[in-house]
Amino acid sequence: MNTKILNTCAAGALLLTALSSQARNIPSPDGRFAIRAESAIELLDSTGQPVLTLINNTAGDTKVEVAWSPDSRRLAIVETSGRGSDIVAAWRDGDVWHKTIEMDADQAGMIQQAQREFGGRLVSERRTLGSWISGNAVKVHGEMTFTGGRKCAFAYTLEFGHGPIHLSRAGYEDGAVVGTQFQIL
Amino acid sequence: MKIVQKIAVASFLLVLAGCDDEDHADQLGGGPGSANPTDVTASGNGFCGPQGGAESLGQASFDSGSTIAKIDTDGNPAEQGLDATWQAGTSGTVNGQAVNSAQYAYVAMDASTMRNDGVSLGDWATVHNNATGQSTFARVEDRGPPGGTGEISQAAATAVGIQYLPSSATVGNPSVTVQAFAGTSAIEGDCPPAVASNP
Repeated sequence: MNTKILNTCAAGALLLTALSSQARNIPSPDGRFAIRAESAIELLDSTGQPVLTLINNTAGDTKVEVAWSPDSRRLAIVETSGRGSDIVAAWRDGDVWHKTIEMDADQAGMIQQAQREFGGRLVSERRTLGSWISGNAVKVHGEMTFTGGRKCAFAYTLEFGHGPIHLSRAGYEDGAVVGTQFQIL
Repeated sequence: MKIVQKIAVASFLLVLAGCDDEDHADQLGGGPGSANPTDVTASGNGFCGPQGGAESLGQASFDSGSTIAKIDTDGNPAEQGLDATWQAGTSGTVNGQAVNSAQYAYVAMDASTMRNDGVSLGDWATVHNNATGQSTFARVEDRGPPGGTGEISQAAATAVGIQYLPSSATVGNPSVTVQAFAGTSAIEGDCPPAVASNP
């Protein structure tokens, strides 16, 4: 995996200000699209024009990770902030891009199980993206911390192509990605 | 082929660390369009309520329903060593500093719920004690893990009559309802201006 770690200031509007313009864009494998991560995270076409705003405000984020699928038709983004993370994903249907968020309910069963096993309440978690295991599924790895400081690692698969889809207040098509095969490691 | 595969799974990490406030001292100041949109400007000892009252907030974009209150002590230096999960910082800031849990009424929300409901750091919220009927205004100032809804600061807990131990454990299992109002971060608090006293 080609990974870049970049240091900058925590202020959202100052994201990437220390970086070269080239480093701000993460191109799709086919070069037709790119992700631009600044104070917002946008999907751009090959001319650099915004196609879709995936995340309208990165304020408070401490880490943003983007992974394109090998066929350039899907992408996943993990945002980490404070004591939690969230996953925003997008997929291309013909020429139209859609965006979605992984719902928290996905992880509820795993969290309940972990809280029983490790004792205490979940107080923080973070996730990172692994490799794509197919054109529509990417591996996710993470770590949970519970009251008392006990930690456990976990992994699951984030799959595209599920439903039902409900349009959220913020314009995300909920239900289009789901977590499966949860494992507490 | 290897290059293509590498590109295909390329990940891009932004680690936002080591921020030097002195370098950006002129960029402090909150609200949309500012250098740091999560930073809230507040005077006095707390956020107080939104100018214009509850009517200025409109309809809640998030409603937790009845949920067990949990105390988030982050940002309160006095909690270091007492609360095992304490963190010096909060996701949001007030006057350029971490939001002190003991001083400011704030709530924590999980990241995906915030994103889905359009709620941003600094937006106004309310905390309602379902047992006593007491309510307080607060702001969304911290992001928590999945299922973290119901986390409130020490100041918010005190304002609605919830007792807690230094370890952050609540006395009993107090039930609260948290509401958040998307797009309201720019509404200033109605705290009276600080009054200087002469010795």
